[in-house]
Formats: sequence, C-alpha cells, structure tokens
Amino acid sequence: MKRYITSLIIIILVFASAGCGQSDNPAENLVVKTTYDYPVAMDIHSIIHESDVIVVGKYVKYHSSWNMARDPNDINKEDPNLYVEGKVFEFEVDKYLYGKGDSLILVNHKYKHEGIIDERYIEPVLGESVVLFLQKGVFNQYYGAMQPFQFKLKNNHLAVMSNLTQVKEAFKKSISLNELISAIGKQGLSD
Amino acid sequence: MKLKKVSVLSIVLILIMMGATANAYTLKEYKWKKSSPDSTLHVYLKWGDRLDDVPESVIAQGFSNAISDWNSSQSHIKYYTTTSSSKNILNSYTLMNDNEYGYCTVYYDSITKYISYFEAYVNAGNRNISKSNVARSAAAHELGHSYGLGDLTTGVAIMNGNRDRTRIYTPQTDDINGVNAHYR
Repeated sequence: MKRYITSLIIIILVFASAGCGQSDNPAENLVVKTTYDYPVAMDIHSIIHESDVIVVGKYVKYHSSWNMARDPNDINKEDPNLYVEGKVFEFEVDKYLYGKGDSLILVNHKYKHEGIIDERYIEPVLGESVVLFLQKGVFNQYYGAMQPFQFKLKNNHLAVMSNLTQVKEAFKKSISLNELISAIGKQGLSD
Repeated sequence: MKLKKVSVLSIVLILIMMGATANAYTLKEYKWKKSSPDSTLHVYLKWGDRLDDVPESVIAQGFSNAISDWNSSQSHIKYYTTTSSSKNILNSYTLMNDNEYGYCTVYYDSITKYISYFEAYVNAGNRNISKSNVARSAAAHELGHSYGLGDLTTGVAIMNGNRDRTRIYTPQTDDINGVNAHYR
C-alpha cells in the first residue's frame, strides 16, 4: 500500500512538472505572420489611372536609406517605435509619357519592415531601361502608384517586374510602348 | 432536336450557376480556437497608443465600423473593444511614400495553429485614407486576416487587393463564406 501511494505521488509530480515546462516559454512556440494591404492592378488602365507621372528612363544611382515610418505629429521626425526601411534611388528620366517633372528624380522603394524584406521589393538594376508609374510623395520623392509599377523596356515592349504570382500572370502578355501611349491618351491624359 | 437544345441549355445554365457560386476566398493556416463549431468566441481588442485618445479619428472610426460589420455578418468570432488589458491591438502608423493601406500581424501556435493574439494597423500616411470609406475598407481587410482569411486579387471581396476601397468596405459574401468555412 505504501509502495502504491509513493508511486502515485511520483507519477503526479512527473505530470505536474511536465505541465509547468510547457508554459515556461510560450513565445518559443509562436509563429509570427504579417500580411499587408496594398493596391494591386490586373490591367494597365488601372495603373495609368493611379499615376501622377509615367516616365521612361533608368535608375542611375543608389541615393540613401531612411525610415519611412514617421511621427504622426511631425513627419519630419521618425517614428521612434517602428523602423520601415526605404531605399531611395536616383532615376534619370528620358521622357515623361504623362505628367511633368525634373530630368533627375528620386524614387523610393519600401525595402524592409522591421528587418523583414518586403515581398514587393525588387532591387533596381542600374542603367536598365524601364517605365515607371509613380505618385508624388513627400521629401521630393516619388513612389510606385500601385503593384505593379515597374516595367522593363526592351525593343519598345514593356515586360512587368513583379514578385507577385497573380500580377505576373495578369501581365504575362507584354504591351508595346505605342499601346501604352495610346492607352494614356484614351484616358484623357497627356504629357 | 428540341430535346438536344434543352439538354445543351440545361448544361450551360448549370455551368453558369456553378461559376456564380464558386468561392474565391483563401484561408491561412491559423485560426481562433472555438470550443465547438456552433459556439461563438468573444475576443477583446485594445486601442493602440495612436488611437486610444482619438475615437473620432478616421482610422478609429474605420476600425469601429469594421468590427461592427464583421460581427453582424457571422456568428463564429465576435470582436469587442475594451479599455482593459488585451494583447490584441488596433492601431495606426504613418508610413510615407508608399501606397500601403495597412498590415496585420498574427501570432499563433506553431503546432496547433491556434491564434494567440494579433495586431492590426491602418496607415495614416496613405494619401487616400481620408477618402470616403477607405479607412473602413482597410480596417475590415486587416480584421479579415485576423480571422484567418488570405489575400485575393480578383472578385468582389474585402480581401481583394484590387478592390475599389471607396466602394467595397464591408465583408462581402465571399469573405463571409470564407470565415464560415474556416470555422465549420
């Protein structure tokens, strides 16, 4: 009887300690998943509609990095609690297809959110001819009007640049530069 | 001949109906833990530091409306705001020079896939956020992720990134179907 009670106490203690162990570090069992809401286009007309400028040109130089997350009371100050890295590149404009601006502009790309690379980010290739659909932001920078906003320009045809599977599928048929210019004209826009 | 025409028409009608009722929603691997398929789980949410003293702000109102919209469209998970302690947070951030509307971070158990808590943010720096219903649309989208819904690029759905945010700002049939399917 005594041996039975002793065994029972040992069994109870073993199970109790196992339960304590499982709750010691709950954070170690947690997966962290972040998803974002941003505008996605399935056709060229939607991107044209959202753009302040549409330019042909090339990235020429990496300019700087900065914290895109700002103090809501003064955007000249960074958000002290959030770091979202933006990479800014200098872009040489050969031609404005829509809108007006300088021949050298700054284009911001969201690079990392708290250290994790954004799924949309594509490292610009310097010297490669591209068409960009941009909106005007603060600090004299432009940024992508929506996803996608970058197209490689080769032999007068645009090929989409995107990491998003559905976007690549929607834009798999390349559009010619003349077709784009015509589409811009049809929307009542002009350079 | 008449029978053949009727058969072809019937097949066409059936195919159209199948297309009309096809669901587009996608589901994440995580979900809230309910005690049973028919039960309702009540979850409490706390305002973050950027929204706790501005209930009249566009984004706070957006979240409040989105909570009400989701609560009235399904019975599985009901959200309530509280001033008491909660790890589920609703907040805003100010991201400049990007078209992002918001984000949702969900923390869930790696083995059971049950949600532990989440944080939903709407971007006050988006230049469209003050337009009619846009903040509400963004808030509803982020809350959709907190239920376990994934992103879409087509269809009439709050989870569709291609949606007109001034017109689609409440959970749509496809979104509700997704939540119902996830918590069946």
